[in-house]
Formats: sequence, structure tokens, C-alpha cells
Amino acid sequence: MQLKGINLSPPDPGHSVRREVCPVRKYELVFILKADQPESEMEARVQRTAAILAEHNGEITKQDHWGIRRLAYEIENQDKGNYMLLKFKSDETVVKDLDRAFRLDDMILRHLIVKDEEWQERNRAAADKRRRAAAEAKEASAND
Amino acid sequence: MARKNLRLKKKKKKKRKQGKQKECFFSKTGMVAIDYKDEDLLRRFITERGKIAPRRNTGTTAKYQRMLAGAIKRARHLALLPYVKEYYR
Repeated sequence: MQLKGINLSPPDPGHSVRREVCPVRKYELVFILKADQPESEMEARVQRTAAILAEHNGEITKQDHWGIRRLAYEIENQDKGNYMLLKFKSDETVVKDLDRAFRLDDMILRHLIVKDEEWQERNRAAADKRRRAAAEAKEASAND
Repeated sequence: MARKNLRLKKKKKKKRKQGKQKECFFSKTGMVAIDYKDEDLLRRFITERGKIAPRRNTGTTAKYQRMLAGAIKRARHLALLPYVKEYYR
């Protein structure tokens, strides 16, 4: 049956296939735990993150514990926070679940999930390139 | 006659002070990516009150100013940088 102007045939298979394949991406997560909580609480948060990641076939690639730092402004009457940075690789569907988990957690003051843009690595690569270019220019001028 | 003179005075354009053009820090040092976690770097680009410093003061190019603004806003969310300095609140 063909209605006027409406195509009832199923969409081309290529389209649905593309939908199902979920790209694996790199992300960065920073969260602030209340400073008066013990370190075991922090461990629990990390483990729960790992568990959520496992559901989306992801894994933690880097763990960087900044420790207790002074906050630039008070959040929930707290002036200190326990910072943790996690880098992970996962399907992009994980962000929603992870975000929800942290949002509902009362002990978490702030959290931020962003795409890992590899700031340091890119800066280092750019610096290397510049250094090499400078060295080459020096050589060229020496040869003249 | 007096009125005429007044009008002449008004027409005089204000001369803008021309300072030395500052060079963009990021172009100069060859940084390509601005990290929101790099608190010490970002602190150099906010004013005393915690506002994002204008381009005319820092000499940052438009491209890096955009990246800088994004990084500062992320850092503020994580309480690495203040929205407003404490003693002004």
C-alpha cells in the first residue's frame, strides 16, 4: 500500500546498521566528593563508575586523585572538596547513565563529564613541532 | 559666533590612547589547547574580581579567547576558579 507522499517501505538497512553501531569515545570525568567523607567513600564511587562503564563496554584508562583542595567558593556550606579525575573509554550511551548516577548522589558536590580532548598531549606535540621547525631553520641559516 | 565655536569644539575627535600591541600568549608560546584543569594558567586571564579579562588587555587572539572563555567556565563550575572574588560578595 502506498499512501500519497508517504513511503511505507522499511528504511534502507544501511541506516539502521549505522544507528546500532555505537562509537567508542574517550571521556574525562571530574567529581568533587564532600571532604568530610572517608576515603572509602571515594573508592566506592570509583568502583561504581567502573561498574556502570562495564555495562557499556567501557573501562577506566586513568585515575588521578587530586586529594582535598580548597573550593574557590562555598558549595552546600562546604569550603573543601575531595577531587578525583577519571579518564575512560566507552560507548557514548554511558554519559547519560553516569551523569544521572552522579546527579542523584548527595555526597557529590560537583561533577563534569567532557570529551577527552587530550590537552596536554596536543600541547606537547605542538611544542615539539615548533622546536623541530626552529632547529631546522637554524640549520638552514647555518648552511647559508 | 560663540555658538559656532562650540560646534567646532564638539567636532574634535577624541584620540584613543595607543599603547603597544600586546602579543597573544597562546600564539607566542605555541599552545594549541587550553585545559580547564590548568588553574594557574587560567588565573592569569581573569581580573581581580574574577571576571574573564578582555582581549584588549591581554592581547589574546579571538580564536584563543573563545577557547579560554570555555575553559574558564568549566573551571568555575568545578570551583577551581571563583565566579566572584570572596571579598566582593
